[in-house]
Amino acid sequence: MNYYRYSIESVIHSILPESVRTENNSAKTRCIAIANENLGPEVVEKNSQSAVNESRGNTTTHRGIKLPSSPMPVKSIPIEALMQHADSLYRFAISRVKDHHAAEDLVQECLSVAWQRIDTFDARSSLGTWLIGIMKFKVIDHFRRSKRTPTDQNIEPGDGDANPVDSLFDAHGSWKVNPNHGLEMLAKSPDQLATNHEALEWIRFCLGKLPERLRVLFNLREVDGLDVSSAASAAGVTPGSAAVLLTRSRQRLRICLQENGIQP
Amino acid sequence: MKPERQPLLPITYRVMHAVMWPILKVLGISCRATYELCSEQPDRQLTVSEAFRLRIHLMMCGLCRHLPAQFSGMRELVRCAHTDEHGETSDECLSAEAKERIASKLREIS
Repeated sequence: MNYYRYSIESVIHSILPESVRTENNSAKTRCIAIANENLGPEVVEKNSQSAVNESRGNTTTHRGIKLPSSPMPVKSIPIEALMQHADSLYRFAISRVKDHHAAEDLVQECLSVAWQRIDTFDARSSLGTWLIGIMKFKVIDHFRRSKRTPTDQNIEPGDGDANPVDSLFDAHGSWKVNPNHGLEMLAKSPDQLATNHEALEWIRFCLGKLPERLRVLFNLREVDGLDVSSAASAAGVTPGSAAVLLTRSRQRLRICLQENGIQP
Repeated sequence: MKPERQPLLPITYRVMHAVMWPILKVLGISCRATYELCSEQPDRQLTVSEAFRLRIHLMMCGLCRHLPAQFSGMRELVRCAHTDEHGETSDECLSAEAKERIASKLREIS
């Protein structure tokens, strides 16, 4: 019976990838059950004893070496603690997707995933930060689901068909208008910008005038801080198109602010 | 707010560009090229040549000198507007029914 020195569990432990071993214990149990059907009673008894030990949090052996087995995940954070962050998650979601029902669904998805993986939360960051991190990926998934497959032809009419720069320069590449007129306040410090309510209203107005795809892409890049390729993937455009669209978004916003003559 | 009439460009700028524009255009350091580089700068690392041309132009052109600050200020403004609209002080909240539905869903999972 030396052939059966190693338990079936050890064999499975050695051949399954780490992610499968840690995340899918039920699959492992099923594998053991299937394997036990083809083995003798001695081995079956050994395997079942090992499984009991592991479920009690005892140490297990792997090829003769004692391994500390992880205890059963304990959901030490109550549901109420997660639900306290529901409003901030909702605000985060609706600011991106601009749709009440989609935002609610995203909050539910986010909290469900968080609750299923609560044992992986190691408290290195606050619970709210951890949840926002999950929500970011949920929002990106949402945009990926709702956009069509990226192509090179997806610069839609209105996304940037007319180059906004043409109105600013003459044929020689020199300014037709003073580029600093009306935009003096942009050179101020972030604190001063944050308290300039008129400027904040105007930037919202100008952002609202952007086509949806440009706005989504621009927010993912500038507000969420994603890199260009990730933002492009989430917004459903190719990275090459995204660079052009982002540049045009900035130029449109700047022109819009200047046209409205925001004063410092 | 009504858009104001654009003021005229400074006479020194107009004279200089009337004379120099062919050279600036050939060297790729026209105001338009500089403007495009400034708007692309947040998304990609400029090449050495581009960075050099940008620097040269910003040194010699008083009108374009504020463009990098304008673009970075605009980014700050967008972030501030976003935080102001959807931050902690916002009154946007999940409805009580939605909260109850999500909580019951979580209880089902556990």
